[in-house]
Amino acid sequence: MRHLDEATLVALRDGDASAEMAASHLHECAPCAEALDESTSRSRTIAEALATLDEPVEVTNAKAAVRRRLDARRGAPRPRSGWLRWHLGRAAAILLLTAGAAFALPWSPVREWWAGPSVDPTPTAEPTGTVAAAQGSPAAGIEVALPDGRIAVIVRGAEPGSAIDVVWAAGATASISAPPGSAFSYADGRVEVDAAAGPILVELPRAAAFATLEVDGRIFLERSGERLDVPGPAVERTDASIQFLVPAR
Amino acid sequence: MDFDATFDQHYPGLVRYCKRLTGDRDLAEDIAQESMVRLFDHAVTGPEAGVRAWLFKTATHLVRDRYRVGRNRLRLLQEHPVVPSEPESPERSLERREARARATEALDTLQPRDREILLMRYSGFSYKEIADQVEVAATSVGTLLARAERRFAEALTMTGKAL
Repeated sequence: MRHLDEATLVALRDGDASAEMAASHLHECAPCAEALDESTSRSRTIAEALATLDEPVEVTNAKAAVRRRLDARRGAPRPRSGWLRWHLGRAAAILLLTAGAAFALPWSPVREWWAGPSVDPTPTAEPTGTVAAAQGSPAAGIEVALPDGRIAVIVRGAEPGSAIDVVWAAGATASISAPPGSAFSYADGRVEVDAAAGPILVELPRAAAFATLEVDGRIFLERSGERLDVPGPAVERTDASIQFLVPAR
Repeated sequence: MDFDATFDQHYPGLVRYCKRLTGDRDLAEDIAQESMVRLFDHAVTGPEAGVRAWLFKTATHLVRDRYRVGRNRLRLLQEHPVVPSEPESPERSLERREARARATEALDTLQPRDREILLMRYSGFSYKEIADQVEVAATSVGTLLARAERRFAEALTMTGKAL
């Protein structure tokens, strides 16, 4: 008789649907039933240990503090709506919150980062000009300064049907976030992205003198001064953002 | 979205999660508040579970990227020892401090993602929600969680012996 593995026991203990099929095994296998009891006991120990870290949470003052922060931040317009708002919010959070840079290139304006640990979380310690997203990380990206106000973003290998969201942002940097497995490089105002399958978020500074987005050889967007041309397949467009869907090749 | 209702519903749990993740109360409150600000600032909408997931994910990223939790935790613990909010006996106080120190140090031994998975699970997230947040296959969550639990429990035992 083959015994249940630890992952199945944990899933069974937690009532996850993935382990439903294994439940009947417990009735006929004493060692596995015992292992489940041990897992349950361990879970109780862990919960008790974690509970020691908890303290009463003060809400009233916190709520007032959040209102103050919101009031202070309400200057920037965010005319997004519905599905786009939800997904852009998620993507923007990934991008903006990962901008702290897990590692950086001290001699370059480029700051690259990965946003999470990998299955074997041993990201390369040696800085290189091109960084692939760590395996299993939620997203990877690149943020670049625009010393002369010009930026060209070249995306290759975008999956047909996937979304590319362009967001006009305050500040003087451009950021590109793409799914795990993507690779980025930067030189002379030109960011190249070998994209893995999935949505891409491109954040471009409103103040950029010149900005282009090229996807698999096709210009999606070109901005020069106040002039903005959008020859790409835009499906939603506001003052703050443009969403493209990558067409079939 | 109703500000008060949303805040009351999600903020306390978010602070507790951040506190467990960072080991620092002030930092946890700051991150939880920043996450709430972004929630309302971005006008994130969706089902309740989706809003909660968004908040926890945002907070997790803030912790990961802005505060370098791994290195900070022990330093913060040393610089700001936890003080119980209610008077208690010296023995009980010592026990509590040791228990917190054990839990904090045991958490610190985990890899960041293992720590996040563990804390998400013990914050009540389902495997599917955890998979979505840390972006792994749902079928991997059981394996990753089992590993995280085993390592955390072992570290708890080791730190218990060391104290």
